[in-house]
Amino acid sequence: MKKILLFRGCVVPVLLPAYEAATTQILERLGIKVTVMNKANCCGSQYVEALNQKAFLALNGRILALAEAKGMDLLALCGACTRSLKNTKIILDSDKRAKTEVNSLLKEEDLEYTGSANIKHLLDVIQEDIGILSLKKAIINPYPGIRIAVHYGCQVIRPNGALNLETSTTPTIVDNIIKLAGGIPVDYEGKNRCCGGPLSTMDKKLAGKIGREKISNIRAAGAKGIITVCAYCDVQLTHAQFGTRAVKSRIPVMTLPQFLGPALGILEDDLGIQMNRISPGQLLDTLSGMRE
Amino acid sequence: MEETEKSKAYRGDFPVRDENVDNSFKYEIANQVGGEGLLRCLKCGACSGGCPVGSVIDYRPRKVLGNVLLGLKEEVLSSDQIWLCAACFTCEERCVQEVNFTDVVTVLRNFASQEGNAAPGYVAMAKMVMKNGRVTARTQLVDKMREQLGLPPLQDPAIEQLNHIMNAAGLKRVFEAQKEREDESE
Repeated sequence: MKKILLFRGCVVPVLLPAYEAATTQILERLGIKVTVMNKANCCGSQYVEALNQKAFLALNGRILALAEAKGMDLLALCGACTRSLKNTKIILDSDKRAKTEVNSLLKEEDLEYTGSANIKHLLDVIQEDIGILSLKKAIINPYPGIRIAVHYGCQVIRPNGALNLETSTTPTIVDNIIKLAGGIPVDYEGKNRCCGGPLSTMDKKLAGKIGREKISNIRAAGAKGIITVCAYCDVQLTHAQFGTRAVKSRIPVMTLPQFLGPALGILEDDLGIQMNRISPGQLLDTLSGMRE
Repeated sequence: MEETEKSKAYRGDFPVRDENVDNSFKYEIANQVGGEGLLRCLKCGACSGGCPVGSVIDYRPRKVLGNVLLGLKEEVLSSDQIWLCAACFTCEERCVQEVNFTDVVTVLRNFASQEGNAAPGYVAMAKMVMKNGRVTARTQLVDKMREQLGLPPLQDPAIEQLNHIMNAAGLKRVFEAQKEREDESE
């Protein structure tokens, strides 16, 4: 059985523990053993990065060095963590000065960054370690042609080249997975656009406006559910549907492993579906034989 | 006096005067990790065209780049504009010159932070990371939810190591600069 080291980050384990649980469940079902990384620090994406890049590189360097010490590749679930770690690796592998600086900060703990560990987002693991064909074989309880919209998340698919997927300008991997699971992936205006989440630090109204625009475009495409692969996006797209200007009927937001789980024959309780703020009950009711 | 009032706002005022221009500014930025692409900018505007923030408010990455290249150091570093980028990397993907605007913005934010001009929201979040070890707060409810899901308890966020790294890298100086700036304005 292949093994991978899960870096949980800050948002996933606290705000979205169901994402963590569902990921572990589906990966183990698909033949990958998930080991949880402990004593890892926050990646410092956006906030620490903006104030002091040296500290940011060192924080990410530390996480990568811990993975190296374990001799395992890293799995990240959040777009911000994934981008921070991948970007740090690119910088440290190409800039000797930055690498020396980071290693001098890590020396006290006897850690060293050499560049031997790889960082994988959940999608990278599905594509590279599991394979789309194996995933297809594992679908035992497909959805009956339900319309689903994916929101990829900026930092999962960009910047171009930092992601291991073949192309990032028009990613298709999640759309293909939705199709494999029996869903109908829908296109909508501004599909690869930002969810607005990162702007909430500066201007909550602005962040909400961008989020609601995304929701209304998804609604216009007739989607019955939204699939995410980033914790920040999931929280933002859910949050955008609440509040004073909230819409009457909300579109359930689910992380990809929560959507895939039932199709793979995993029980809803193990996927934490009851913890979703907008219940995807109606969507899951379309599955045969899973619900009471 | 009117000019100082406008310093936080977006520049629409011309002509630019010599006294506002710092010729070496663009080289300072280009010398930093992430700033390398700046001098390649042709000001074509592909970045502004795809910007999701620009579709909602008056925010134009090209203008930020233009001001940096022009040498309007003080104006750029004291402006809210550099803090409004959502880091979606759409402009990086579209830029034919590989300027990497998002990375340039990170360098600009670092410079502004050294001078005590970091956006308050960002400072608050960075302080939260130092205090809690994460940008979110642990609650009993979270612990209970994790237990229900059969997940291991929340990780030890290694606060001691994290603070050591952040301080040694110079983050403490940024907080001090921020405090000095706040005291000045009071």
